[in-house]
Amino acid sequence: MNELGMFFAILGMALAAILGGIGSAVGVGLAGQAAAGVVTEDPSKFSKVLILQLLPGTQGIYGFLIAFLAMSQFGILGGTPVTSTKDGLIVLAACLPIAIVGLLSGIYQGKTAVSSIGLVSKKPEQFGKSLLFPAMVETYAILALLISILAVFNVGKFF
Amino acid sequence: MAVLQMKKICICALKSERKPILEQIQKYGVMQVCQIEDQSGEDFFRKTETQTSQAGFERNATNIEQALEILDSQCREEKGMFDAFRGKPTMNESEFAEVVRRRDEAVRAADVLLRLNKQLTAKQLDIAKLQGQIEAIKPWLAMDVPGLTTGTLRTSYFYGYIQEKLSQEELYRKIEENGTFPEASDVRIFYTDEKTGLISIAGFCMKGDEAVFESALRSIGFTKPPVIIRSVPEKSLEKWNARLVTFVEEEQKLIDEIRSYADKRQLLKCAADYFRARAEKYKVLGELYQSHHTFFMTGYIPKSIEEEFVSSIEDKFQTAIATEDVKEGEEAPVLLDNDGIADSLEGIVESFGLPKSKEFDPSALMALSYYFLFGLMLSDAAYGFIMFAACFAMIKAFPKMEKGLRKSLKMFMFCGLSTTFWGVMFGGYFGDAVQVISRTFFGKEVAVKPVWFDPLQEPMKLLLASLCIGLAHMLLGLFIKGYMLLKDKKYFDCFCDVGFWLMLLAGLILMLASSDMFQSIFGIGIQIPATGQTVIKALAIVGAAGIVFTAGRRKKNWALRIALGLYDLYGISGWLSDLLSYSRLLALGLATGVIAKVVNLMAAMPSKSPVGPVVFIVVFIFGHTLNMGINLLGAYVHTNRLEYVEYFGKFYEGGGESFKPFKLNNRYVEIEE
Repeated sequence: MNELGMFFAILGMALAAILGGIGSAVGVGLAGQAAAGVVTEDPSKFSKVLILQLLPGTQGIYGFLIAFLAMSQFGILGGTPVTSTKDGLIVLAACLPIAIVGLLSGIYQGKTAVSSIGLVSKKPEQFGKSLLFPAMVETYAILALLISILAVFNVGKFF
Repeated sequence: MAVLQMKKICICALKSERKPILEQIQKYGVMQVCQIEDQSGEDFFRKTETQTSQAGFERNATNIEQALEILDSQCREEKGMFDAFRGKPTMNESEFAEVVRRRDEAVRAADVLLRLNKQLTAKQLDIAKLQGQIEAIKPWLAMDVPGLTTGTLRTSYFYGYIQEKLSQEELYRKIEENGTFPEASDVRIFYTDEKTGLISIAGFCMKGDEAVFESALRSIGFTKPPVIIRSVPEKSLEKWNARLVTFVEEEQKLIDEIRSYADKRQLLKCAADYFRARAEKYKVLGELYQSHHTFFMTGYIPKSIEEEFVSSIEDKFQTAIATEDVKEGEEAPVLLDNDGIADSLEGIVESFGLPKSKEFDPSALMALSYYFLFGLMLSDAAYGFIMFAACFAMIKAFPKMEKGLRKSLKMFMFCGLSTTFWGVMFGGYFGDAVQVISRTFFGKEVAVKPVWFDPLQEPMKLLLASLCIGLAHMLLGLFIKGYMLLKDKKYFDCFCDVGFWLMLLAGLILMLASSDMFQSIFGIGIQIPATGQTVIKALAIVGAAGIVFTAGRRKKNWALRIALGLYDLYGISGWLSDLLSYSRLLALGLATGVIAKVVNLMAAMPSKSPVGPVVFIVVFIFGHTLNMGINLLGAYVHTNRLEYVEYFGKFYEGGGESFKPFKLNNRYVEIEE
């Protein structure tokens, strides 16, 4: 085991959890403020706006997912620890897509969810469509997640 | 199965029978009244003015509904947890007729309730105002002269407050610093508010010094009190407190009086429904063309119940009814009719937009792929079974459930089934709960073999599967487009818009599948001999060329035509991004499995301690509920997205008007025959 290498590997896992988590926290927070506003006017829309509020919550989960997968691959919860600084940096790089995209897409998805909540408050029958707008933003978080997953599973080749 | 075919209907009958006929139609609830605007009969047929009566009924209904809300705000109706699933209570016709007879009583009760509520609001306002006054007089309670005192014959008396916490000496000094302190005068602090730091002061001076002294005081921030106090403050307070008690009593009396109407709730609800239905009837009545002795009405009815409907009216009344098919190019209102597993997805189609009246209803063809994709994203047998069992139990327990809700539950029930299927395929039962429980509590791990493979071990295999499923899904969309074009006998269009695309896609996919890159990524690939390679390339090139030359075929200008064709060919990038979009199947599937695994891991952590099993159960239930909730939402949203964007995008337009029959739109009760 190489300590500096391990540090970089854990830094990568931490960043995935931290940045994804921040993105979702901001997004869910923004949407929650808007949702609470709608519920003060009309409590019957609670379930609809709650669903919209939850949509930006997935980035945090994706970040967490990558952090956990990396932990189980590189010696924290199983798997083999990294043996050089270079390997640690490779693991860090593998975690970065979901970390960075998770942060930004979480925030923007939150903003979109706020608008969708506004839409539902005026036209509750358009709920189906209002779900789609935030889901569009999520696509990019999913693509980043995918790259991170594939990288975490396959970077072992380069050690 | 599809969009119900509509027929136009025209009913002509005697004016004397118009109300019973309308009631019959309303009760039947299958005809959308849609009056044809025709100027030719203008001077013979006239519309009657019914807006006043309609407005009267609507006002009654609104008043009663408001009265019900007031009742609800003062005494909640007892509601069970599952009331939302129970559907509306039912009544038979004679019971309802009894309510109709007592409708005036309901209107009166509603008026009384509205009046009481107005009084209550006013009373509550008074109470709030009084409480404000009582609060505001507190700083002046120590003053034992009446508040209106202005002084004696030769002296002036004044009182007020300063927004600064000062001692008596500091106050004297401040006044002297800021102006003159006249002879034979004094100011005293008699109350200091510790919270706000305000001091209440009272003082006197000779009449002649009033102006000078007051300006000195004002310069250090002296202000008159905000409340008007007439008598001695303490006396005022007593009086106000007594008044507050009576006000509160009166408030309670009003509330009690409102509550005493609680037993009229049922009557009010029925009456509200009755007045709404009448208002609706008068609205239709106002649209009818009427001559001296006859009237006629036109609209749409579904073809399937045409005969039944027509005979039900012709048997009872003297009418002439004519029906005809909807003409080519004319838009009729749209009603979907599906059975089996497809009807539960009508809601999903509706929230995207109903099909046009001549368009293909995508519900049935969407159903299978919807359940398939949903299950793949959630992919845990235990979660799926819980969903299935809960929805199934609800549907069985509440047979009178409202239709839309029933459809949604049915949809989730099927989604649950599919989730169970995929869970078994991938070996997920609360994640790896079986392994963890057997290992931690029984000392011997029981292995659960996935029927197909474990996605956590072989993510690339699931990715490939996801993309293949996505490709099949999108091709299905393209085939439907082709089918619709063929049905409309647009053979050439079908060949250009679908055929060339199929050629291009088939060529590209085969080229990709036989490439080295594909083999190195996924570890599998197909070998195609050299002649085959040439054929594939030719196929792709012909397809691409076909698209370039024919996509813009409606334009005369050749340069423009080619440009449009190239643009259409660029759509291949759309296919690529749509295809990649299906990778969410992998991402969401893995997310469920990994979080479930983490929950199990955390739950099993304190297993060595004596409270281990208890902690395990608590963490297990909490964690899996959360995971199931979040992933269920994710699977729902993303399945919708795949259907709406990737699948519908290939063939579906939507934008039809929904069928809105003239019927009893009862909010509170259902009337049985």
